[in-house]
Amino acid sequence: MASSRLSATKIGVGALIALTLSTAVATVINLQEGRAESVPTAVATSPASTDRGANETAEYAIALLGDRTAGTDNGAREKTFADLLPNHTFQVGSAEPVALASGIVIGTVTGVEPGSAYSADGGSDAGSELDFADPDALWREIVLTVSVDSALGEVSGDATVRIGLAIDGTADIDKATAGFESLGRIIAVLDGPGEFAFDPEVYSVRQGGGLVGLVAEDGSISFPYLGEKNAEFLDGLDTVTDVLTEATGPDVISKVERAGASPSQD
Amino acid sequence: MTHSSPLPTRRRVLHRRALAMLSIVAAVAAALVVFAPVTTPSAEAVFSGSNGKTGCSAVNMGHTRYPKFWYSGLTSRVASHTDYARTYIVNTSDISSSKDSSLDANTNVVMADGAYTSTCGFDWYNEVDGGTLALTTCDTVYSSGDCRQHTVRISTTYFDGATTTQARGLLCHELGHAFGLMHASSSGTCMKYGVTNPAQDWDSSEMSQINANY
Repeated sequence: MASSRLSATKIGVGALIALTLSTAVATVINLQEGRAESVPTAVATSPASTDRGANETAEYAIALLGDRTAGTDNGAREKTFADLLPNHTFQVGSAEPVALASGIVIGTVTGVEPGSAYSADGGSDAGSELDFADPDALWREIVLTVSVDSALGEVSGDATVRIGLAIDGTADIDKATAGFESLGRIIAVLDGPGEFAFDPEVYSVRQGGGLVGLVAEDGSISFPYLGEKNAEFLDGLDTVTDVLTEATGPDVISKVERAGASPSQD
Repeated sequence: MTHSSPLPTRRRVLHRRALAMLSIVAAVAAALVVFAPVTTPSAEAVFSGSNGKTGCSAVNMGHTRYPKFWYSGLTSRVASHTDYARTYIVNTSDISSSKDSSLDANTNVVMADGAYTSTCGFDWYNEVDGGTLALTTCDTVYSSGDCRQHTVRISTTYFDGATTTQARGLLCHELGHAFGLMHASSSGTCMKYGVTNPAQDWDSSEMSQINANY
């Protein structure tokens, strides 16, 4: 009997611990589900998103940014934010060193416009252009107008910059538009203009639109798209001030191998 | 038959209490090992399940354990690595894949490759910038929410210069998405995102989810 009571005690304690830990796991699961469906996770506790914590409209747009790479694999050259600054260039073989990004803009989203929409059946690349609201679109392109407060590279000195973003064809257009309009202050790493057929002057955003980050009131930065890799990517450039200071530092030229094959990318 | 104890009565009681406490500590430790979230990824973190999602950002499990693959004009290298991944990864699970005789609505996975530049608005791979290497989309779903047809796109701009390790890892990664596997943080699986020299297989927790759901 003593043995039975002891076993019962063990089971009871084990069950209690199990229940407690299961609750903790469930919390993690809920957060992860939130990211997948509608709520950002990795940045959920960052200062940037805390400022927007009560704004479900903004959270919808943030979740769209965060979900962008769910079904992809990626071998982007840049490993840290510093790699994208204008004074950091890369040289492949004997070619001229080039900056990976054409510019960086920090400012406030003041407007969102429709761009175009596309289907891509059967594994084709660009596929067919559709009406923006066509329900068969695989992806849509929208344009954010950003009122600039700081800018680096090609867009330095511009008062406004228009940037294009791709959003999933299944995203709710109205919610996405309202969400991006309510993002407030952002930081975006730009690739050159010319990517968008509907308007060649619109800038595209590095990493397929992923590198649109949030700027909190204290100037701290977070990229929802990067999820748990956000801190690793920022690598100490945690605020707008850090970024602008680093960009005025000495030029850095990195000699590199073919992108995706360099051991340094691991 | 009785045994005389070398311990005085009070010490025997303390000894029994100490043993009981040790047992409880052991039970707690065992529970921690069994239920610790750090060592056991949740199923939701590993596997999408059936979620009705389609589109560029959708990871959604397939409908059948007998999926039919259509190779849409693949280069010989992408085709041979797809064969490898199906044979040595997919078909070692409870899934048994085969090649389809024609592309139609009943084809489960369409394999495509090309020098992609803009599909889904991604920055596809080029030698200077790097970029998106491959993409798996769910294109249509059943009313149950299972994905009816996936398309896997492989960038030939990347793949043509990829090492065998990279090529195998990439196919392992994308076919994992086509069967519902999510990105992983562990380097012990090909489902880790953005790795130069990827693992060549799904890990045991991923394999368990595949086998439990197909």
